[in-house]
Amino acid sequence: MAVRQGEDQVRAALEKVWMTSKPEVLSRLATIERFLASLESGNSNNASRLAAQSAAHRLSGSLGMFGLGEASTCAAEIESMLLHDDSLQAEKMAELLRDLRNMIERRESQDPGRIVHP
Amino acid sequence: MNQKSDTVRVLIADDDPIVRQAVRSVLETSGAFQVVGEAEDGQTAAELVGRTQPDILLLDLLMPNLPGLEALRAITTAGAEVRTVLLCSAITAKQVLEALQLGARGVVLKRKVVELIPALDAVMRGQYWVESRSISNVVQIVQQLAAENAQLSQPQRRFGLTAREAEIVSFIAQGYMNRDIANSLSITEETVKRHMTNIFNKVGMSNRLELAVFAIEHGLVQK
Repeated sequence: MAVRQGEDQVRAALEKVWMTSKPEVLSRLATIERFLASLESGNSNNASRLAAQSAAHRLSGSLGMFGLGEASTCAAEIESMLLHDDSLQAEKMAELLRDLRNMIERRESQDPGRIVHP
Repeated sequence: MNQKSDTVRVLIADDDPIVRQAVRSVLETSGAFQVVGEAEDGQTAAELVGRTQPDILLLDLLMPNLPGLEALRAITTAGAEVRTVLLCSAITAKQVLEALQLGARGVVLKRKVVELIPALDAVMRGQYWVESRSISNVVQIVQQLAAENAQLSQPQRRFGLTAREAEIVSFIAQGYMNRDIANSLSITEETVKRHMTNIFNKVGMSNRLELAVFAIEHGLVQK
């Protein structure tokens, strides 16, 4: 009972952090989306690629803490693509980014009490 | 542990401020922990361990200016008496073993951050925390990881080991003691020790844990 109570408190604390961190999370997502747009139009540069890589790294590192394990894995895949020239494919990245945004937005519409941590 | 307040002093090292805030919030749900500092890279983490002397260092693996395991190596080499727990998004069995060799006391995946407080409690009681459970000694962990790796690895090189020596290496990786090996193979403990000396000479390792890690990494663990 005490353990369950402790876990509930932890989930509530994480929910508060999620609420305050959302703008930053969405800003990170936007950084990657801007890079993708520049890649698709042939105007990408190394600085924007590094910024996107850093954003993907941080998303991968943080999303799992808020019950978004699958989104974290998706962000890690994007980070890996950004690290390796031979795997950088705009079409694949666009697909991953769509999935990532959907997962984040789906969390938004959920009842926080139902967010499940594995 | 802080003698005045009995709180566990924790240093958080992660390059992402959101992660640091989340960890701090989790720890604050319990009155047992006090965050004494935050570091955004490995170099700063190593420096802050010396300055703040925390009971526990929560260390991310992938950080700028000295990755997590390198920071851990620097901290261990400096002789700091901190209990390090890795807090990471993903980690391989090989990295877990390397971290344990470097003195880490546990691994908590970020997606399982709800387990952070039980993990730190276990570590403060002198146990290890790996794969969501408390484990009393490192050999158990090696044994568990060896069993998992045995299903994935196929022996590729034997490093000049005889069939009997390879068999003994496999036992070591699974946490067996000399007496158990002797019983299993119907030989004397003295013979096991002789084999061990030959094995150490051939593979260039100097203790059982190193040998176990080596065996796992090179697929020498037999089913």
